[in-house]
Amino acid sequence: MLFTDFSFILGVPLLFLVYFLLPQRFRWMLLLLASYGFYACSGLENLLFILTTTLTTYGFARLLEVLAKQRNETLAAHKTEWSRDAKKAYRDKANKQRFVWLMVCIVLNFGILAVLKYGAFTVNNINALLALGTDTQLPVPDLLLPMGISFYTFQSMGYLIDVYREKHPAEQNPARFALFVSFFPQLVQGPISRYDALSSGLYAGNGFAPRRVLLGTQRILWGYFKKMVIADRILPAVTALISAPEQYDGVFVFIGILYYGLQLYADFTGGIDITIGIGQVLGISMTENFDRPFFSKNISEYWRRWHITLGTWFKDYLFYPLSVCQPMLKLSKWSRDTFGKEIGKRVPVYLATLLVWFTTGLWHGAAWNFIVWGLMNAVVILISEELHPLYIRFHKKFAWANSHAYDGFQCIRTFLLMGCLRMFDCYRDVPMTFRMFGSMLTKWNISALFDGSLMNLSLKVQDYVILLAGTALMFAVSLCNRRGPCMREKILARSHALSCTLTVLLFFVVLLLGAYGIGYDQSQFIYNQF
Amino acid sequence: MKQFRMITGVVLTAFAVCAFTGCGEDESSGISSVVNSSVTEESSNVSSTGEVSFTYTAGGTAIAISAESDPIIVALGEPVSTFEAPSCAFEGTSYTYTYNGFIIETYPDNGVNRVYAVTLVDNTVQTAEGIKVGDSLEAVHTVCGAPDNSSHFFDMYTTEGAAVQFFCQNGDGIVTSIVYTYH
Amino acid sequence: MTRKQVILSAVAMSTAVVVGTAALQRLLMPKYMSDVVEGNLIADYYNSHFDHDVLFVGDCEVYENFSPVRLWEDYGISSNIRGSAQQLIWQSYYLLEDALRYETPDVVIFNVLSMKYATPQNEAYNRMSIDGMRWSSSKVNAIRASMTEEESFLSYVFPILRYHSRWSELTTDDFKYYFGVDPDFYAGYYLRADVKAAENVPEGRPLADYSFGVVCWEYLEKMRQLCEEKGIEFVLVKAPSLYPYWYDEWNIQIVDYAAEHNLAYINFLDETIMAETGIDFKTDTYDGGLHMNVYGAEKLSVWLGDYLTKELSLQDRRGEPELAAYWAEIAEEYGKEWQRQLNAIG
Repeated sequence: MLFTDFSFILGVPLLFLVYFLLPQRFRWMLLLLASYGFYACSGLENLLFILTTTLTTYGFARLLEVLAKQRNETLAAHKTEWSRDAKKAYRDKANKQRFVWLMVCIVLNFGILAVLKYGAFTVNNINALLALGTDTQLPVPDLLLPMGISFYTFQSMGYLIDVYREKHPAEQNPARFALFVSFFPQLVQGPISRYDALSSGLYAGNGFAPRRVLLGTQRILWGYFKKMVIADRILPAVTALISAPEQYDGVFVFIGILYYGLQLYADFTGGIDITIGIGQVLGISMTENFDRPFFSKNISEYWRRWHITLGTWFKDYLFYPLSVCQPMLKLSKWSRDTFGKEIGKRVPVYLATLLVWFTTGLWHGAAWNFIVWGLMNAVVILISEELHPLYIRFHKKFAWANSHAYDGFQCIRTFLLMGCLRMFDCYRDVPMTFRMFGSMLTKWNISALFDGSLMNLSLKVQDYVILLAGTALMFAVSLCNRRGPCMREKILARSHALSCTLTVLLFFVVLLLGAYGIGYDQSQFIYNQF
Repeated sequence: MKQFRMITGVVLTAFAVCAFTGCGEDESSGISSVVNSSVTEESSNVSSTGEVSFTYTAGGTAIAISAESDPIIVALGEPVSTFEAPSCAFEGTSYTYTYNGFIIETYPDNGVNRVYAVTLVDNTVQTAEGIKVGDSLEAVHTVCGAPDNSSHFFDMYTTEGAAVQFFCQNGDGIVTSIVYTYH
Repeated sequence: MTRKQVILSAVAMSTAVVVGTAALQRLLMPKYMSDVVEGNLIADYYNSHFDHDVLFVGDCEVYENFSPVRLWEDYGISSNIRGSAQQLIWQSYYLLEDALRYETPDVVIFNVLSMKYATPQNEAYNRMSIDGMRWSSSKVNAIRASMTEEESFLSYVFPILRYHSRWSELTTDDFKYYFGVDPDFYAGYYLRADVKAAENVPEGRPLADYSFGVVCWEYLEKMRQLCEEKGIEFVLVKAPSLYPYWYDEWNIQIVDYAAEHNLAYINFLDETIMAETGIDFKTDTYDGGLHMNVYGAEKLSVWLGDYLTKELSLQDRRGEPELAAYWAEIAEEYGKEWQRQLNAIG
């Protein structure tokens, strides 16, 4: 089921109604039922996978907690009679045992993800290597890819690692834990929530609060505006540009960068707005996943503002552990001894960064273009880090480099840089992507911007008007949200009647201008496939 | 200890459940992993059983099913006769162009006219394999291989989007008409 | 916010959404008063007085080939045509079922061309056949049976979901006819006075399979049974349209079915009947043989009226004042439209 399915759009208000009518203690159960019902719509067989992840993670988390408790009890019992070394030895042994169980569960669940999502990719690459010297070809598995498997696997493993780190206790109730894993608004495309942040609202069964419900509804409608009025409207043009690269090269690649950037942003942030808006109506606070990413002045800032929860997940559960693990510490020492301090200290950081971005690329898709995309992001980030001292001197030397105009230049530069990197996502073929980039420099067909070619991309004049107006509106809202409360809260604080009126107007804008129904190809949220 | 056993039990059960995960039918929402390698597609001109062309060529002009018909008609020149059948209520007209030996039927598709069927009606024209009206079905089988579908009065060869049909309307094994059509 | 403010806000917003949506829906739904006028055929039935001796059911081969005005003026037979463009057989069944909620005619005449369509064809034609129906179980079933893959049931319940994109295609007709349309049909008949002779009409190419779909037989049987239950004479016809080609292999199946169930089947393409009707494809068709113009429709109606009177003993009701007044009004408008078209043709 998609967010834009009529059944979803009608079902959610109904869910709200039943939710608020139910006694408080039953509300989280309704959410569990709705979440599994929602997930079942993607195929009953998919339930098997999410249940496996849920049950194994729940069981192992309880196990880790029990082992931690046993460790602490034993240490407390032998507090006086054991020496410090004896206590350390026991603690290390107990922690090692917990670590082993942690890794078993992680390997199991990531193994399922790896097999389902990357099995065919791996076999195809092996076959490509085999083809170089032999006639042998392995059979390529045709495996089901359950909806949202990347999201709920990452979310569950994050929870498990937090329990291992004793950041919070394990959830005792398997049904409540099942709700944490399967909570339907975030299943499609995140955000990847942390248990301690989500659980307080998830199980609270908060009652009807008019202000919160109004703001949540507005956020949902705003999400549908971005998704249906903007993203779905420009999608046919993006598809036209990337599906015929021979025809649409040169300046069209640049147009594609702009169009795809807009489409991806509106689609992804629109979906997140719907997700967080639903949470808000229900009184469940969810982590923001975007923070006006196109206002970033450099790539590092961009990745702190785009898909925030994925970035923090990799930072907390991969980058930092990788950076401080024993093998990396040994490597760090060896590289300092071998290459000197300056180069030596960089080796583990570079390696960890490349590994994290390799994984990030792989997370986005089982294809080389995603891996290359990830690694190129890493390269750009590392180069930026290396040039950082130069940037500081540059800003100190030139006063205009600290002006708003220069800030604007940096934002546009970052947008275009990220847009170029994003093209690996579009063309899905690494050599093709490089060829298309090359054509931007070698093929001078700028006249195509003025000869009506842009009207042959399945967009009519009114579509362009709506896209321009919609983009301007998104920009204005983002500007307004830079400081203080968000625009919705500002409007509500100013005038309740105005807030209600704008809500109704936004509903009609989506109803009338949404690119849905006959004649529009209903498009999945881009991140559905993850 | 009791809790430990309980939890271990849950975990082992989950392992057992896990053993059933894996293969499944590919669905529109559960797509196989995307691969960068190119996919070899079957040529639309080759049938599943033999070497049959699903495109009729007249005077060097290829007339493929579902191809845009206007350029084809221009290339073929003035037909002997033209019949227009406007669509019910809406804009869009189906055309039947009669040439010497063959007839082309078109249909409107979002403002574009496309070939729906080509019928060879006499022995002044022939298929790419050299089969004409008046040939025997045996000759058809020799050249084209076993048909994908047949009855006592026709043999049909199919591919995705097109079919070629050899009709023997008298039931005597002699081809009376040959039809290329949408399938 | 106080509780009262909350309730007032909720009520105000809900009302605005409901009223606004209804108003916009009315504006955005096509009015079918220019270009594609056939879209108003189905709804026009409900403007009739529901007192018909004969109901025609079918596609354009009924609503363009039979003149209820001629049937009335020559034979006093009150009739109506429940037809629409490319009306599929299951749509015909549900439209008949719907009509029988309002009246019970003596005869139902079904044109059999739609037996060749066993699957939903086209969303636009579905809309024209179904949107005009009043809501009932018949309409629900017609929607379910007709929906193509790209359609949703909800878009029939709330047509704004289908027509929302028309905001950029609104014409003066959408505002002029906002509160109601005034289509030019005459008891469901669509009058055309122009002439285009039939020529170069191709013979049908041979088909690999002449069998009608199972679903078509099912709905034909349902129509027959429905008429039987209501004591209605069910008559099958094939209008004298030269295209789409009516194969002998199709015809024989209908002949056999009619014989099996003791039904009358009138194939107007039959040479004998064609001669009796006097149809001349040089003068009696407006589109080269696909459909009759008014001259052809009247000839068919004269023949049919004679048949209905003699074979099915339908009574002459011209002596009923109320009915006569009703038909006089329709006939007047019919005559005016005919003259208007003749003037336009010059």
